[in-house]
Amino acid sequence: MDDKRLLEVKDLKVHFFTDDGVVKAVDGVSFHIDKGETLAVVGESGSGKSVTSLAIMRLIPNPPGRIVGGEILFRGKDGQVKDLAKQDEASMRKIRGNDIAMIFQEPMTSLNPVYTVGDQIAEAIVLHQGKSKKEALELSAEMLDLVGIPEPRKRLSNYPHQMSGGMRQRVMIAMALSCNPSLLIADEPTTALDVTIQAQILELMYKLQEEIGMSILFITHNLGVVAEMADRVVVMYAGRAVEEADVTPTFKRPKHPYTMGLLNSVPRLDLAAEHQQRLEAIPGNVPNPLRLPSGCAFHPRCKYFQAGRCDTDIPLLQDTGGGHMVRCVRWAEIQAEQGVTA
Amino acid sequence: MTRKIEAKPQGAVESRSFFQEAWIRFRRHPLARLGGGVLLVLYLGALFADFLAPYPETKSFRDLTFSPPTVIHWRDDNGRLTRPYICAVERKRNLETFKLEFVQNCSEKYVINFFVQGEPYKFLGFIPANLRLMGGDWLQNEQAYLFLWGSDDFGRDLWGRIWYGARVSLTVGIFATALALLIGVFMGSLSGFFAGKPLTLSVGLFNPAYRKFLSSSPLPNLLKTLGWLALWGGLAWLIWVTVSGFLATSRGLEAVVFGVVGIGLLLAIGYAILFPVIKIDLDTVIMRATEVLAAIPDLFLLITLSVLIPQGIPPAMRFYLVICILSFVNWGGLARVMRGQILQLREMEYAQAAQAMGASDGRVITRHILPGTFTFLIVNVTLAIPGFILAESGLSFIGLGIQDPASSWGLLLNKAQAQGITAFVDRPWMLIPGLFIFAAILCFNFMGDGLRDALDPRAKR
Ligand SMILES: Nc1ncnc2c1ncn2[C@@H]1O[C@H](COP(=O)(O)OP(=O)(O)O)[C@@H](O)[C@H]1O
Ligand code: SF4
Ligand SMILES: [Mg+2]
Repeated sequence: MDDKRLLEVKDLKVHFFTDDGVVKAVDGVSFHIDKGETLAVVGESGSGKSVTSLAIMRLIPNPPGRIVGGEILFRGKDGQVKDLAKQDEASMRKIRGNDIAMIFQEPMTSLNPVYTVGDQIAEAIVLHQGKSKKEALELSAEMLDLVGIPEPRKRLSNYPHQMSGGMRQRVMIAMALSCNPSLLIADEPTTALDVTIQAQILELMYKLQEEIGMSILFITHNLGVVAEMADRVVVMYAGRAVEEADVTPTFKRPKHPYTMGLLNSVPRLDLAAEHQQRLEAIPGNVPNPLRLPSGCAFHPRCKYFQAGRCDTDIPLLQDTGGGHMVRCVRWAEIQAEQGVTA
Repeated sequence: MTRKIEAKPQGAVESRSFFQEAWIRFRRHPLARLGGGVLLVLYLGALFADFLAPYPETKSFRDLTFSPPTVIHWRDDNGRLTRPYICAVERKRNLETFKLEFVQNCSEKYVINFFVQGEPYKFLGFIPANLRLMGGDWLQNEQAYLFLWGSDDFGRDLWGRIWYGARVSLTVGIFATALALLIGVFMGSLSGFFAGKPLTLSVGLFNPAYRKFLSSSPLPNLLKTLGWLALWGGLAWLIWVTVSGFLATSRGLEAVVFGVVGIGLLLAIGYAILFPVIKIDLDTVIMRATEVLAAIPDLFLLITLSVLIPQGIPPAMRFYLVICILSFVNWGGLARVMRGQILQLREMEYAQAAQAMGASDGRVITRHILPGTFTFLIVNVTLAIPGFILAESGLSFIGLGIQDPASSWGLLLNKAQAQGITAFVDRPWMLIPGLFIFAAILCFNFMGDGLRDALDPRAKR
């Protein structure tokens, strides 16, 4: 693995064996994250984003879920590259929280109401760094200060119910960063927050990344925040990556019809009013994971659909130049068509 | 991305733990306070029963059965207030109605003294003491009898026996709940944690999966295999013994049927050992068991089980057996709610977050899941106790629980109907134990309600 690579996911497959059949929640996803980089994973809900992140942490609920294929290569703090898909539970426990930390969507429920904030941050520090409870609390106060909570020492003895949602998400971030992980997975960290608080939390994460230099796997269904936060984007649809590229080209010139649809369905704040296009939602719904459409899974909703080409074989992920990967058989024609109309 | 990051200070927040706040809310709940207060009095009464009662628990006066409450006189012959005294009582048959009547003979006044030396007893079972609330020399010399709330069918003081009985009636609920809680929490947790995760009970020896199973961790899995074999072997042996027993005493078609069934079962066990992978879903097993228990009417189950208690065992022993029976009948409900709680808490994000921080399964369970069930259990327990008190009363009432000469509220109430329901009219004081049962249950329910309101997560602002 390349020296600057932190994480490389290759052909990851996670299936859920339910009573109704096999749900291929993630079916051959590959991506990588370099050191200090932020990778955004976007897609409608149900596209397999959370399952991907849980697979990296090896927290897929089993049964019914299982990683059925692929590799998750990760460079630990010690420089060793390990395949997380093959680690046993004991070594995964050492990695979780210490090398890779995670923050969740729901700040209201991701802190335990029974313990003080200080106790909860200190728990991980005691666990991974072998510090005494007192030292751990000291460090917890520093972490709270770092994430911008005023009077951190006093706050240590607060209970979660005494804090607002934004404050709690800050606490979650403090907790996640307390052991200095090299990768932070943020699964829709701001979805449950008010818009103003969202902006504050995003800024905080941005700032912390500059200071600490960890990599972030940023999961969201909100394209608005991607451009601000991420260096590269992976767009997922029905368990597969359909487009992957640096943020700038993807957002200036998306090549996959699904990404175009996603972009057209959010207001573009970066464009002046006269350049705004009309917002249009992607027609139809996310397909039932038990009965994915044949060929390109997006074809029933795609306006460039062409019978015989799109619905026969699953399109391959092709490099369209400069590491811009697209999974669409007609991408070149669509580009040309758009070039004409634009 | 250059704006300063700031969090709004939230005003001074006092740091009170969840339980401190709950306690404050609880104290504001008027009914809960009332309930708690009355229960406190009742429990103190049970604790100091020997002190409150003028006579020992089993002291009986055979010729004073069903004597009405002793009249306490406050005024002397001139109508002036004096120290309270009682008169001697004689039992006479009224020659007109042919009823037994108790006639006072106030030629001598027996003054009730307070805090007197009485019949010696052991406080808490081991501290020798003889201080009693009421008494006098006349009481010990049996010149007059003090039955504050009348006497029962053996001429025993009801007032005293109510307090002695409180020891049984008020603790049976707690012990039985504790035991039911233990069983229920254990079963419920197993059920909750293993819901949707069937346990492999055995892997057939000739099954291709067996080799994989053995190679994954040879020694423990070999031991496990021996365990199953012992289990299956034991089962086969039991079937063999039963069937051969039946065969020895039956003939004709019967014998053929037994033989076929027996051989069929043994073959099935042989097949089970050799080929299939057998998994059981602990959750399903436990939940079906609770349903079976719930489907049998409680009283019926209680009566059936009480028949198993041997006669003539010491009262203390009987007491514990009654507790076991009560909790055996009632663990199902607690197990079900516990399972529900665990299932819910298992999916809480903080449980997952703790796992994502590297906490082990055991740590997640003990530190993050079980404590979340505490508030819920506290409320459930308070609401379960009255049920057990009632159940004990019911058992004793129909003569299957605590037995004479020991005392419990249900048993005392039973005496009220001893000679036909109409007897209530003649001796209404025998219903007083019923009032105690009623009050205790009401108070537990008040307290449960108060606790529920105080601990309700939705009340958490
Ligand atoms: N525990 C589970 N059992 C069965 N299916 C699951 C489970 N968890 C997730 N899935 C399936 O995996 C798919 C992807 O889910 P997820 O990764 O949570 O989507 P999202 O992109 O919104 O995070 C969904 O179709 C869902 O049905
Ligand atoms: S492959 Fe066909 S259906 Fe799929 S995105 Fe491309 S054009 Fe649309
Ligand atoms: Mg998700």
